[in-house]
This record gives sequence, C-alpha cells and structure tokens, in this order.
Amino acid sequence: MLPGSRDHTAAAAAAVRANMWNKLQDMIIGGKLPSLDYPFAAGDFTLRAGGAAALLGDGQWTFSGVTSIECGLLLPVGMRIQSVRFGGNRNGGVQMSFEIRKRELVAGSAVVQVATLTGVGSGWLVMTITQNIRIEANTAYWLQVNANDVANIFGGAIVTADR
Amino acid sequence: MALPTSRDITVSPVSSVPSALANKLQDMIIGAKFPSTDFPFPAGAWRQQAAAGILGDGQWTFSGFDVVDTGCRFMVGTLISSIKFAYNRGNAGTINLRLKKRNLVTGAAVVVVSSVAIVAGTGWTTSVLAPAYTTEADFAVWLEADCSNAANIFGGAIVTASRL
Repeated sequence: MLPGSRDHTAAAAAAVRANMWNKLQDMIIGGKLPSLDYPFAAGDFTLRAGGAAALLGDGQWTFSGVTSIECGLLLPVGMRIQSVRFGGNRNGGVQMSFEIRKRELVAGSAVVQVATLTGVGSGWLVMTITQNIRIEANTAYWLQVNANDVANIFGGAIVTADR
Repeated sequence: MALPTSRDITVSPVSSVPSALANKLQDMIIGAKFPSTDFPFPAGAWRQQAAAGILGDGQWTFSGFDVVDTGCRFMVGTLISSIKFAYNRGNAGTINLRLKKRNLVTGAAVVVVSSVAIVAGTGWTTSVLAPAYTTEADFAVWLEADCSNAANIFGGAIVTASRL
C-alpha cells in the first residue's frame, strides 16, 4: 500500500535527504506498489446465449443445465494479471470449468482462450488459475465460467494484478 | 504508455539533487505528465436494455432494434478523451454509438454527451468518439450501442482516459 503519511517533513531551510528523492522516484515508478486484488461479484457476470438458463441469486449463480456465464475484465492496458481465483461449489454434480479469454477488437480477430482450469474437489472451494497475463492494447479480456450440472453454484472471482 | 520503469537518477547521500528531477517529480504527482490509459470493455461487460440482444463468444448480435450499454466506473474528475467502438454493421441498418450521463441526485433526464451514427459499411471495423469529457460529481456515465438490424454485430469498446 502507499504510505498513509509523510516519511519526513522537510523544513524550509533544511536539506532534503537523498534517500527521500530515491524513494519518491521508486513510488512513482510503481516498483514499490504491491499486487492488488480486484473482486468481481456474481452480479458482474452475465449469461451467454446458447446454453441452459441460469439464475442470479443473492451473491451466486445457479444453473438449469450446461451453460456459460461471463464477466468483462475492466483492467487498463499494461496491467499484469497474476492469478484469478474462482469461488464456487460443484455441489455433488459434474465439475465446472473456468477460462480467461480475449479478443483483439480493432482487427476483430477470433476469440482466444488464454487460460483454462477444470474444477476439482467438493464443497465450497476457491479454484485458481495462476498465469501472468499482460493486458494488451486494443484487446478485451473476460472471465468465463462453464457450468456443467444443475447442481453447480458459482459465487464470483478475485483477480490479482499489478503493473 | 506505462510509468517509467526505472529511476531517472539515484541520488547519493552527498550529491545535490538536480532541479530538473525535483520539477519532474512535481509534474508527475500533479498528474500532468501521466499519459492516457486504455481501458477495454469486452462484450461481456455490456447489458441489454431490450430483451432481444444475444451475447455470444466475445460479441453481441441482435434481432432488430436493440440496445446494450455498460457503465463507466471512473472516479469523478477523470478525463475521457476517446472511445473506440468495435463492430460490424453488416451492410444494413444504423448503429448509434453514444456516451451518456445522468445526474443521480436530481434525477434529471439522460443527456447524450457524444454520439456517432454508423449508416454505411460492412466488415469488422472501429469508430472513435472524442468527447473530451471530464466525469462530474453526482453523475452516472455509460456507453451505449444502439443497433437496428439483425445483421449488426457489436464487439465492445476501448476507452482512453487520463487524470485517473
């Protein structure tokens, strides 16, 4: 996090410490900024056409069958996605799968699957895609959740990113 | 463009600080030297106003007069300098692309900040609005793609903003 207060208050006639100048440069560069978490709630996702119906409940999606929901990643060009954690519960049914996808908007190129993960385990779990993905110019990125069973429940995702 | 990736100069304990460094640090903190940043809004970030828009893999298609929109979640004081919309008119109908706002405190009528009507052409392409709009206190701001023909396809937008 950025500091919550000044490191040092320079008096009118005093010399400014060299390490303060160095620290200011470092902070502006961003080299001292840690990764930040960006949560995407269930309400940030929307249902894709072509599959079964799905219902947005209070903080989670439930499904009528095999279908997909997706969520745009509203991160600026140049940021680096380090990981995405998907929160859900297969609830005894077939596992859900999770994807990061992209499309170059100026050329209108075909959609590209950047990363994918098939869920494992049972009970409410966080399933994580760990991959460094730099947001490229002119390119849109989104998360896609593929429900494969009426029992599946999906709660949202947390994207960890830095510069 | 990103922030600089390394120090301009490492100041040693006994050296003086170049005045240019002090000025540059002030400028960067002020924000006047921060370059514009691009924010992509993929198809999946948009919502349909009417019921007949269809969200496919990375794009919206339509059955007739349909509108999709997406909120611009920028802080007050952000300068939106340009918006690049990606679409294929499919040689039919009109696609209206807009930046809109509404004062949420007064509930006043929606205002179109900037718009362009696409009335010709086919094939995947982009069109740019240059609203030079600074987001205001108490206002919600959003983008809108208003399609009129089943041949229209809409892919999303890229917003260039600064003074974040």
